Amino acid sequence: MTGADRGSGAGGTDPIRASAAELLDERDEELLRWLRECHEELDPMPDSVVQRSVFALAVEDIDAEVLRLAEQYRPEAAGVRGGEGEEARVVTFDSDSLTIMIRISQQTDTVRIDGWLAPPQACRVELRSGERTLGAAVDAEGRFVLEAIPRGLAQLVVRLGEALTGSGGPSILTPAIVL
Amino acid sequence: MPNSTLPDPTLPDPTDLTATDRNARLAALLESARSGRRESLNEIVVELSPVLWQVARAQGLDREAAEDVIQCTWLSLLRHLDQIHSPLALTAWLVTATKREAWRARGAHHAEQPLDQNQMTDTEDPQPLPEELVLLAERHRDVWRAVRRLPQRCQELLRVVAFSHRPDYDAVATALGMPRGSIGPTRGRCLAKLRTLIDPDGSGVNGANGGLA
Repeated sequence: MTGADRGSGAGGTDPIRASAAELLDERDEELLRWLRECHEELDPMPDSVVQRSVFALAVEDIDAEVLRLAEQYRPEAAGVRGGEGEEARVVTFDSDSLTIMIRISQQTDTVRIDGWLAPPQACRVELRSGERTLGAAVDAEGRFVLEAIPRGLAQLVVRLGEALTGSGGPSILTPAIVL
Repeated sequence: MPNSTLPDPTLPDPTDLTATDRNARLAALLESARSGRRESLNEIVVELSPVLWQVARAQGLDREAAEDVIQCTWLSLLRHLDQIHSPLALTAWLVTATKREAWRARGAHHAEQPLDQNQMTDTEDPQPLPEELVLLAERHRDVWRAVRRLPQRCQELLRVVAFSHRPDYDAVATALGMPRGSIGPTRGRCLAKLRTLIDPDGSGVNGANGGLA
């Protein structure tokens, strides 16, 4: 916050300059209030913003790196029909150091995730979902599978040190997504 | 106001708070979140997500991408919470992080529209969309028409400021890369411009009942 140059160097009669230097008055406040109402009407924030954030923040790893959601698509949408592989979706998360790609497929009542982590390394993943936390080992090729996942919000936590030491090591989080 | 003393943890209802009370409440929530209480952090999420939504959307992100970016901002905050000591610093950190993430996401793919990064020049694309006007209440339409004729930077700044609280205005502007210039805050210039657009001859500058309707 530099308050250094709150200058008075601008004389002149330009009305924009003149009133720009003034403090907010009632009229400004009214305009800002109306502008707020316009945006609330035209572009309301979905409730899921807070819901997903609060869900994701319940994670216990405070000092974790955060992966971004990088890409999301549905492969061969028209191809597979019927059966358990229906409605697959591929989501990629990444950060400077790690990429995780997961394929989410719907099963009868639950969801299955086939994941791949790069650069590949043996470690452990956890999936936080509403009811419980599921765990799986990541093999040396970076692959992991999570099955019988309840639908709803879920978040992946990667524990890099755990394959070797059993605990400790840095963790990496994804944002919460809807399965 | 000595906000540094920790207020009573039984906090007042957030709806009818003066700026000082609100600041004290946010300071208490921050203090409590820093000590590990997630409930307090959740309340901060409820309180400040609407501002971040404006920041992300004003950067041209589509709604889905904006939601992802805001969530990542909150998650990143977990690591930095112990370095943030005041509500002002918190708002500034969150706005800066959201804008930076939005830039990154926009560069990656999600761009909905190219952004005009011109300074204070008028854009030649001033028409509000008809479907926007349909959605708006009668009394808001003139304001919206005028807003859409503002330079892109002003639209961005006023949009975010409109969802901020007054003590945060300067911090928000700075975090958006529009600090106070030599002739006063950019916010003031944008508001003044908006007023001239709504009321070109300046005759209606007479308080709350000016010629808006």
